[in-house]
Amino acid sequence: MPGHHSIRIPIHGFVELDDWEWDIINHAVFQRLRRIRQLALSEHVYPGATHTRFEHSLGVLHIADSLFSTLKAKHEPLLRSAEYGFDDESFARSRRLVRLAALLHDVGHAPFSHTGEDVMPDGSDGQRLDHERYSAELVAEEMKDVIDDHEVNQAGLRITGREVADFYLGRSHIGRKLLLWRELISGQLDADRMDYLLRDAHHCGVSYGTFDLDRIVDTICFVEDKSLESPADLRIGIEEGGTHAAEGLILARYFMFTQVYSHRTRLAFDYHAAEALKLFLRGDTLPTPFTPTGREKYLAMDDWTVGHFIHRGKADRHGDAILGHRHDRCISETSEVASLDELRHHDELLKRLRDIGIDAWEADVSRSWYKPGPSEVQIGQPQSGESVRKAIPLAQVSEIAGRIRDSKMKLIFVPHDAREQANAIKEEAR
Amino acid sequence: MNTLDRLGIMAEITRRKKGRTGQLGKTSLLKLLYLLQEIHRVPLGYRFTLYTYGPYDAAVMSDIDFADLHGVIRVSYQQEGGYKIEEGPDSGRVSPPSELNEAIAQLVDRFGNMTARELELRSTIIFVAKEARLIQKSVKEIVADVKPKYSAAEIDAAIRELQAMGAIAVPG
Repeated sequence: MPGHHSIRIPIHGFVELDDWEWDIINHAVFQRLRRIRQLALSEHVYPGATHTRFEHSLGVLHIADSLFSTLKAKHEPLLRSAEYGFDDESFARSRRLVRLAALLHDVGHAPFSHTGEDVMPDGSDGQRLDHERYSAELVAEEMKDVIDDHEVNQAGLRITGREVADFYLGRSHIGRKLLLWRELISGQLDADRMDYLLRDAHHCGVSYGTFDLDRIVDTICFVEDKSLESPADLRIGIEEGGTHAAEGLILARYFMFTQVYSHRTRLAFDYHAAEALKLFLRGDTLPTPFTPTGREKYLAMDDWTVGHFIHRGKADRHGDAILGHRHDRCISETSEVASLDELRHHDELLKRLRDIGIDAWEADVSRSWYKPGPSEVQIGQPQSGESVRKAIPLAQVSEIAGRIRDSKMKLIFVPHDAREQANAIKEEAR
Repeated sequence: MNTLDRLGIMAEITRRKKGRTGQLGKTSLLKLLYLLQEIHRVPLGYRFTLYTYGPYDAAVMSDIDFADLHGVIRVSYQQEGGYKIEEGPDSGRVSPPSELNEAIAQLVDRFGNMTARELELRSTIIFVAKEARLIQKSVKEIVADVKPKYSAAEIDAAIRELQAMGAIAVPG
């Protein structure tokens, strides 16, 4: 790769970039990520959590490239066989797409990261858009000058921004060769998750999110699901020798979920941030990413612009909550893995509180971007006469991983001043 | 749609699948839910994207796990690989919204006897058909590339079958 640049970030040290990638990160669309905090207002709980999507995106590139290199080194003969048909050019193209997708997958984040997704408009399929759809349009349409038209690209692979976007969105026409690598960007063993666990733990000052990244990188492999249920193509797994490292990753996810991502106070500030953003938008949704005007307006929004709005006292009680650290309080929560009765009781209590005029709201952590499990990580067991290992779900070979369940926890919050009244209603309901 | 409703749908599919050919496992249940959302327009709220193993959303696996934990369904791992799903002892504690009963019945009538392999092909075709409108490639061409384990004849037959039931409108 032509040129050499490096940026030092926590966790990985120097991240190496070439001229093309250097120009991409200096593009205004990418620079905006310096003004989008990774964990929104989590500094209200963990004061060190002020890191940004800019730093994280570099970290994801670093890990994704390491994982790609291991997979290529281990499986090159198979991938070059007639069955898969890789050659030097398709390897180079795949690696470049993996690096660019890793670097650019988050450029579409709204102010306050995932919190802002609550205010995104619906897509043509009726489902609300997410930051990945915004990233796709921004990469394909607003970064053409630095992707499609860049001289390094023009002299070599001729990749388009749309191709990068289609790759990480998993569009079917990208074909089987590229789909093979997609799990590195979005999957159970993706570089995104590996980086944010380590990075968020580092900045929050907690040790829960640590796991043996080096071992994961060393033991990642393609595996083959030969079960009767689903004779699948290759997918990404971990060699048997890395089982404990995989367990470490799953436990890191679980602890970060319970101790950081679904921390009550953090959830309360997510809510206030989303409500402040709604006021900033005057009740409208975020601008569409599908028109030039919409993208221009969207790119003008970041944590700073909305923060300025809040600081000017325009965000009503939500601004006051943020500025004065006087957040809504949790008055009820189910178990981490709620029972069916708990879920029903939760719904009834929420309705009752609203019926008497309390501005109660719920946090449903099952809708969170962050998930603790269950583990669909695949472990590769050697099979005689085959170059590819057989996939066995981690949950079947690990007692620990098999016991971690996804959280369906629900919490009810009320304004600070309504706590006593809400608690009284809660006691009555009990 | 809330979690309890989705669990009710899983329980109903599992009940109706009983006695039919083809084992119900995690993969086949996931594909059936995909078909329910895409063909029958039931707003389950899942976001499926494409992998080498077909349309997938980890949130479905999370719901299956949750349903198993609470006895709505019973999931067991088979020695030969893959999972088997049966009706759980507490399946009666949840039920789907009544207006969805017809859609679920029709789904199981249409696809309930298929294997995971057959369901994977059909769900991939539907996924591809949604996207093929946007590009200059045929559904068959894309499916053959993404899923080389299926023969051209198998793909053709599945496309015709889905066209006949109105599940895809585009030419193969």
